Amino acid sequence: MTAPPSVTGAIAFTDIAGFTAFCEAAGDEAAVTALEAQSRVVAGVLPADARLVKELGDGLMLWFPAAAEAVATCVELQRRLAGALSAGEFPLWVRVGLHHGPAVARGDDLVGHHVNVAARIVDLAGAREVLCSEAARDAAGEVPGVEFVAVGPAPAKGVAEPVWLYRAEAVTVSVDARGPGAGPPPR
Amino acid sequence: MRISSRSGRVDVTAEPRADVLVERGPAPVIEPGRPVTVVGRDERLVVRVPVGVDLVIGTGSGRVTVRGSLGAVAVTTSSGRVEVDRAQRVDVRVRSAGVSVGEVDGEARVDTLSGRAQVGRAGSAHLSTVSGRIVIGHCVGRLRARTVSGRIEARVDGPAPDVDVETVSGRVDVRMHPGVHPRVEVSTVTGRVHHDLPVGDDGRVAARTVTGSVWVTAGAAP
Repeated sequence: MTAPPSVTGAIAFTDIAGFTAFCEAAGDEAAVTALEAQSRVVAGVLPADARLVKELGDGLMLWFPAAAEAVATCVELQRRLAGALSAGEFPLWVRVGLHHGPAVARGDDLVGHHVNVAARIVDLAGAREVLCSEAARDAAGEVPGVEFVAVGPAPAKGVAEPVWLYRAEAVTVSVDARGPGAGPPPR
Repeated sequence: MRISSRSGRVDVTAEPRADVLVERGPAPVIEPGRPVTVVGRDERLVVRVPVGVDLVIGTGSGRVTVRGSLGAVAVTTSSGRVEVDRAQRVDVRVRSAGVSVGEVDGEARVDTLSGRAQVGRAGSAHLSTVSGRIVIGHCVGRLRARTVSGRIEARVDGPAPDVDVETVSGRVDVRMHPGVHPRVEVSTVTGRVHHDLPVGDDGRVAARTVTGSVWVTAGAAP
């Protein structure tokens, strides 16, 4: 009997904050519309070599071969979802948890300890936040346009050691309105 | 500096000193180029640190108390109460614990699932709760507040507000600096958005709700 195939990469879980309350408040049709809007945004941002592993109610499990790509994609996903919210196309907020490590393929699914850790991390993420494990941050290295902010070592259910967590957020770049090469700002 | 504990209480005091003293708990791990780290299990940790130091704390269920004036403070816990006196920046993430933050020069960021969080004063605030309650006494700069079914109350000072508040079915109550004339953008599906502000170009106030209620008014603190 051969061992099941193992793949190493970044595992992301997403979750819509307050989806249950939204269903109750806005109705099932509005909930389905919101899920479809989320799917469109995710499909538009997911790189060709990454994949949607499965849908979990209002949440998604995503897999990326490279951690840096995963971090950049998740931050961009939050940016686009914020834009969709402002445009009235997506009324809710998404939380993202990201981890890096090996997982075992079981059909189209992925299972294993690191998948479980990623699932625990999203539970700790705030609305509109991308929360990464230290393993994901270290595997990603420098990600252009993204900075990591330490938020604490979090004990996770079923995980022996605390998981060090970092918030990945877009770097705010101030641009001189006079254009490039304009020199120092006037006093 | 980093402190982690599975379930023990964590007490940190910032005071005029140059070193880190662990009064109770395991000795700190000091490695060149890395933050000083204290790793506890289930015991109480009592630590004294220099004023202004940056601090990252994580616990499973222990209470966290931070006294004195710190730099950037980040606390993650599932169910222990969190108290922070004063810091340059604060980032508190709890599931069901109570949170009390005194004064924050920069951004106060609070994420809760449930429970009550109180921030006395902050340079700017980023508040999020699913079903809990968050109250901020004074927010000088930018305010971002989101709740699913909980309640957020904030007073925003300053002549040019930058406010963005959202709720699904909860309630957000923002009191603005009297005399301010911001641009106001509101939207709701079947909820209520009320504002009595004179409109102008003094900054921006945006409020959205699905079925909840958002109140943006000029006047006294909530």
